[in-house]
Amino acid sequence: MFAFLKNEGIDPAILQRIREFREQYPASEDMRHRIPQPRFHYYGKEIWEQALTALLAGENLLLVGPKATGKNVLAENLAAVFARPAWDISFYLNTDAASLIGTDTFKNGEVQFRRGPITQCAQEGGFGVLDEINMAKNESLAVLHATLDFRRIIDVPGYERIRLSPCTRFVATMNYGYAGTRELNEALASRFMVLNMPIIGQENLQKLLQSQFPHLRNEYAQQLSQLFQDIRKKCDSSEISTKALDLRGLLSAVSLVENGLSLGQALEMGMTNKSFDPFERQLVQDLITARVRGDLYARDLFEEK
Amino acid sequence: MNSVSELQRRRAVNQIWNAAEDYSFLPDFKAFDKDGNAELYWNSVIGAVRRHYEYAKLAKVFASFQQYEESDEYEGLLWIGLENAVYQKEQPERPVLEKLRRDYAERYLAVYGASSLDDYHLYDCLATAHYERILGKEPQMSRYDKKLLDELEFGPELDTDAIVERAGELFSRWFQITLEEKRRERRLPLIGFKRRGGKKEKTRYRQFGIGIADHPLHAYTDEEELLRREDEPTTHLNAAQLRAFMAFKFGASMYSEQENAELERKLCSGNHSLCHLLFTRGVPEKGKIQNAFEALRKEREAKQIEMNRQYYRQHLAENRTSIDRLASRIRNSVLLYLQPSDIRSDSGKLDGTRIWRAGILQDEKVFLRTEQGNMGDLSVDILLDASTSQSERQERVSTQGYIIAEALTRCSIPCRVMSFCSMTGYTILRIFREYDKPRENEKIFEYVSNGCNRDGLAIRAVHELMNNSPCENKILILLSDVKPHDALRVFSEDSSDYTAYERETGVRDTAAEVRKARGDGIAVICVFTGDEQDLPNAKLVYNKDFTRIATVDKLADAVGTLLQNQIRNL
Repeated sequence: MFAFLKNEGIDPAILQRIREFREQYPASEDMRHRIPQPRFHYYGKEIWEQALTALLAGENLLLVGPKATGKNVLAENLAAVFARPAWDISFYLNTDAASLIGTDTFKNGEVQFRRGPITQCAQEGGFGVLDEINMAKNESLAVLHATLDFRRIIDVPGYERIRLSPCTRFVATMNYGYAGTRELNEALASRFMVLNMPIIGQENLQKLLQSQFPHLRNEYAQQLSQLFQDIRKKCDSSEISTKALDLRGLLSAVSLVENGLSLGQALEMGMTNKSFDPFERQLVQDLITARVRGDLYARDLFEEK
Repeated sequence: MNSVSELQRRRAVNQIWNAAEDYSFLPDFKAFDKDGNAELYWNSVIGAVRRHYEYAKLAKVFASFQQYEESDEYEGLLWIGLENAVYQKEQPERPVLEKLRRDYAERYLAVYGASSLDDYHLYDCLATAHYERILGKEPQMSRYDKKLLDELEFGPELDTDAIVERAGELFSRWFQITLEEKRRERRLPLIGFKRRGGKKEKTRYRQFGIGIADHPLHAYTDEEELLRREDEPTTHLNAAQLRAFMAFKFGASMYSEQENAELERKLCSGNHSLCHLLFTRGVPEKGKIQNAFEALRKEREAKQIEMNRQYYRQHLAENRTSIDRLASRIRNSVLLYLQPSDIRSDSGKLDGTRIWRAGILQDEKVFLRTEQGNMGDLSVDILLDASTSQSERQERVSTQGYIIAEALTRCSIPCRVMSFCSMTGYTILRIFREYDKPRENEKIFEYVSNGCNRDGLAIRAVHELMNNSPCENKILILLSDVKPHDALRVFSEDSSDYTAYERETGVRDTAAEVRKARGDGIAVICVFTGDEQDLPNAKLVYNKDFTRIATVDKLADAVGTLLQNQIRNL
């Protein structure tokens, strides 16, 4: 991870401070398995530096951006860089205090407090990834206010007040602008440093493809990342929904080709079919046809190993 | 090849936009194959030409062809030249073009390759030769034709000006035509000519590659047509005859005579004391058409209904997207508003008040599980203004109504759709679709405008109907131009005189009815369909709860926001 960051050109002073942080707060043995080992790297020097600096300063982060901007990849990468155990907490409409902080259970004939993910994360000094935080009702997130701001506590009525470990951080993500999302209210937003995630550019996408598939021929890495930009343009002009704008789908499609499918079939499964409207599928199919040949196989796409 | 469907047209435009990397223009040329499907290769070429050249200059050249009889042929030839040039520019960035181009050439030759020999057309001959060259063959052609084709196949090194210059030189030398547009000879544009319901672009199809291209001549006017109200006939019919006439015209009353009289007694008071009401589902009354005028009217209505349906189909792609977007927004806000309820369960949150049962009664259901509530307690009524002032936009209003109803249907929210108009003292409430008839949204296209509109009374009547709704929370959506107007005048207490039910009087009365409905817990929102000058009225009547929609594709977002606000406040 450090080699990668150095390669990205991250300020060495920041890297030094991360090393110090890691020495100061080594992860305990039984939490090691929770430290993520990312499959993908996030590319983008500026975002990296902003995020790292904020976390070093003890702030919580809110990553805002549309689909396929690498919000979760960055969140996972950050936990890995700091070598902290991570908790993935997905927010949904009915997320409530109990599901975050914890709830009562009946154990050995007595009522006990069962810790929720936020509480566990807080006590173990982990990195809590609050995924799609704006899917939950703002009111039910009010219990997090004290946790996220300078007080750094969790106060459960009827129990002791829990203090956050000094190395606990929260990284929230939110997608702006699709039908399922809502505004985050001011009280909650003010407890985060907000990073606007840029849309992955053609070059970085090409880099990503090539780092995932080192044998992928240069020309196809370029055409496939171009294809992704073509689809994004069509989404931006709201001719199609963002369903086919699926970076995971693109990566998986390339991997299917590696495993023997034709590029046409693989892209159909990975991208076109993500949309369930026949006309939309047709438009996406046109984009693909106008960009790459469907009858290509692994031997065409990849260099000899 | 007879026609191109709206979907394929939209698809072609999308292909062009993609290649142009620009979504901000509406292309004039679009290419389709002989079955009317969008032709990907040619549309990519058309788009790429936009990207690599200054299209405005080329468009002038194309426009100048229009003054000649062989304009189609010249157009085709110039496109061959442009294709040759732009292909070489674009191919390095888009290697797949090579395959698409070869595929296209093969398809072209398979269809036209043989036939063009017997029946000599310069364009066919050159096009065939051009595509043969693409496939690496040496075409059989006269020296004369070969030289023309060589000159025509522009190279990638030319910029727009060079191409325009080369084209001008080439066409004047080979065809003795000048590419200066002669203003004098231009055909008179179609401005000033306007057909009802035929506002779409006039489209011309011509040979283009193996298929056709369409080339719209923009023929529409912005001429403000003066609103014409139907003259209110002063009637010589007695009360019973008039009622029969109305039922015959709009459909049988859904209430018995007695029930109707009851309702009229209750609702037709105050400003509406001399009015009558007709509630109908549009079920036709048996009877003979009384005169030619009525027959004509019926025929006109049938035509309008067909036009409504057609309008929806023509914009099918956009409309479906709108329905989708609106539905997902509604679903989302409804989910948010649903209050979850706790039920007893053997897992979940421990319920302290019941925990003794575990030890004493071995009852393990001492936990609470949260269950999603249901949507049963929200209903939406949609009321369409069907007065003559809407006659210019009947297709749009019915489509908007349909989109909203369909989106609500998809969220399984009960909704009822009605229209209202007034005539000779009667206010007619036509019900297209009832709460429990989710499959009858199609009936909304039976919306036809007619007569005046007494908004206040209509809202009062709908208010009464909504009071009987089985649901606890009610929303009323009006699609209206907020221009109340009815022939039956209102007696004003202050001046002890009659004033016309229009302008201030009408607006004030409508606003009062809206307030009353709101007081009863009905959320009233308005989709404003009228003109700029009536906006202040809408503000007065509906406060902030109205939205103005410039184009139908904005409907989903605008109505979505309004509904979201209302649902949040429930």
